[in-house]
Amino acid sequence: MSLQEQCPSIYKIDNLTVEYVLRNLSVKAVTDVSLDIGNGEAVGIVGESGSGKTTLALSLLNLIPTPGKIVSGRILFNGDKDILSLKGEELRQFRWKQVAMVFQGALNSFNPVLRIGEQTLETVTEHETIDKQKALERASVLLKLVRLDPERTMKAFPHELSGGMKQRAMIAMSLLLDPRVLILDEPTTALDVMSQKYILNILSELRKRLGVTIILLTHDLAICTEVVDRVVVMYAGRIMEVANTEDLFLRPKHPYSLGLMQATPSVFGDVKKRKPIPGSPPDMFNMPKGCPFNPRCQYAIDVCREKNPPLEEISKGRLAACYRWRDVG
Amino acid sequence: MKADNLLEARNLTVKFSVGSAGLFGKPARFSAVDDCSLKIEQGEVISLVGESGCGKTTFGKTAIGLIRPTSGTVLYEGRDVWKLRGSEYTEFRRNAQIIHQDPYSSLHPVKKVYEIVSSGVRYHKLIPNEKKIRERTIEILDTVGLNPPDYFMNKYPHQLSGGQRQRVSIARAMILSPRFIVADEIVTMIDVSLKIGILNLLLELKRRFGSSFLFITHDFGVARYFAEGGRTAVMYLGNIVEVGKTDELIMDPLHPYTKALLSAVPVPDPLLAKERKMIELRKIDPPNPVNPPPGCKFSDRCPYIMEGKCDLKLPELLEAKDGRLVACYLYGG
Repeated sequence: MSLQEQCPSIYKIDNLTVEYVLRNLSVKAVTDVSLDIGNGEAVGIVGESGSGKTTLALSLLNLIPTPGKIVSGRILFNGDKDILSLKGEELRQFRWKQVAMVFQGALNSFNPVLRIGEQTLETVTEHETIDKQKALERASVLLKLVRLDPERTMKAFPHELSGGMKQRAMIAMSLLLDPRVLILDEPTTALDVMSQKYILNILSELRKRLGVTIILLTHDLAICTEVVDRVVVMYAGRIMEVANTEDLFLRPKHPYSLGLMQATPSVFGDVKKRKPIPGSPPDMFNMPKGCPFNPRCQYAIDVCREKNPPLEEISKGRLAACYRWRDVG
Repeated sequence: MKADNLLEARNLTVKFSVGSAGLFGKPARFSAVDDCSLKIEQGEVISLVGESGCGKTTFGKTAIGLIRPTSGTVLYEGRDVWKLRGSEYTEFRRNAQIIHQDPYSSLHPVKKVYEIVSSGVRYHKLIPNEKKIRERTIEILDTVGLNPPDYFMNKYPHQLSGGQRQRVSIARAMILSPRFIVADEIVTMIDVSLKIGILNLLLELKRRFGSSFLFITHDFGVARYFAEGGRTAVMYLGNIVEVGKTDELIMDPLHPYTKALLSAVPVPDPLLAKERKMIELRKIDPPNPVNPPPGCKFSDRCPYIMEGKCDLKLPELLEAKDGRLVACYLYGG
């Protein structure tokens, strides 16, 4: 039984479409996305630049910046809370207390002139009435969990920490209010492999210890094998495939997922089988007719150039948006 | 007489000043590159692998004469590049090219692709007339896959995607048929689906022109793909700690740092990922490069540390086995 079946969903996204409007042009960054995320699950959202993964994540916090607009769809949190209708104080409390997000490049988002400890306290007191001593205790437990020395880290200014240390401190800070969901946008992209590995190990550990739901956005399929149970592959604002991590890697069923795997240079395995995905990423202002991947797809047939394939359940818990998924692999 | 090595770095040290200790204090000095030696033969690919801040870009820039070393020499065909004068210097400049990491900031924003790519040819007066320059530019744009060249020639960098910009950078370097190229993290900022395409292009150009490469990357997977029988050097905090044939080094790393680094590489295979265990280090974060530990710079994190030895003196880079150089007391030194 998959994790998703065991736990009721914490997020239920229905037919979400998000548009950015620039003068008289509009671009759909996310198109008709439906997805359930189970409570306590770790989900990876994989896509290249422009695939819409960050926009999708921002929608989960009702945080789409102008000129972006959620044009249709609904997001339910924990069964009945309609995220897109939250306003004012209610929305502010929802963010960080229920769902925290570590943004891309978060290691540069500390205030450079405040010590880590001061920024940490501010976060807590902004959201909760709690005495200083208690807040410090909670912070030091979390810093230990992310393998930092609490005393030294709290006294340090951001520039005194390395990239990996800052990112870990940021993760600890995001968990201060004990959120139920932690969204991480490319948390290891600017880091070297060893720092990356430590962060991935820490995420697995946090999930075990705190039961927090993890949504990991990344362009790198390989890091999904380390942390997540389920992978959502996105391309041009649409979901292409949803599968358990192992199934996806061993038997990809969408030509794009397969292409991504073949395009990743690996340290082990056969190097010579690597090949790029032909063509270039889609022009968001000028999307092809039919399936957005069809101009680059070796499997494309006439129907792919005419109609966009729906995201269908192809086996239990496994979804693919492709007319030819049976022939892939 | 020509030397065997196209390029040789001898005991290179590059020091930088950082911050300052008050108004009258002396700023701290640290060695971004610390006593590094490396030989590159004609047509050879050497990958330089290491984490961010280890000094690999500084080494690359010093190797093609863009940064003057604090001490040590860079020899091009046996001659010190900082002593070349006149036409010898110009020839070296033409033959040693660099392709930068970031295609978003390394192209002139208000020049068109045609001017960017052809400027080297014009500067070095390699081709006499504008018509021929145009032909050559079209040819190279076609070679790097910017098709049709007529269309791309008149574009500004901001009108191109990251992958296309990196192709412009490659064209700008290759149009001079250089003998030595420093490629600095050239696919790091490129989308996954396009990486292999850029690497394949560079491999093809390498075969065609027979150029030597110093291929800087933090990604062993990319180094392995580009290697083609070449060698890899691993850097840590300014020191070269291991050098060997790329495949052998990846399959059987000797230096504890190389071992740890390779054990941390994520593998896109869930079954393999479960079996692999990362080597636990004594300290998970690297030291401040301004203040490295005494002796071997990896000693404070190394699980195999021999106290009273590793923490006293920096081990030399010596041959540990057939063609493999390692700077570690576990292998003599």
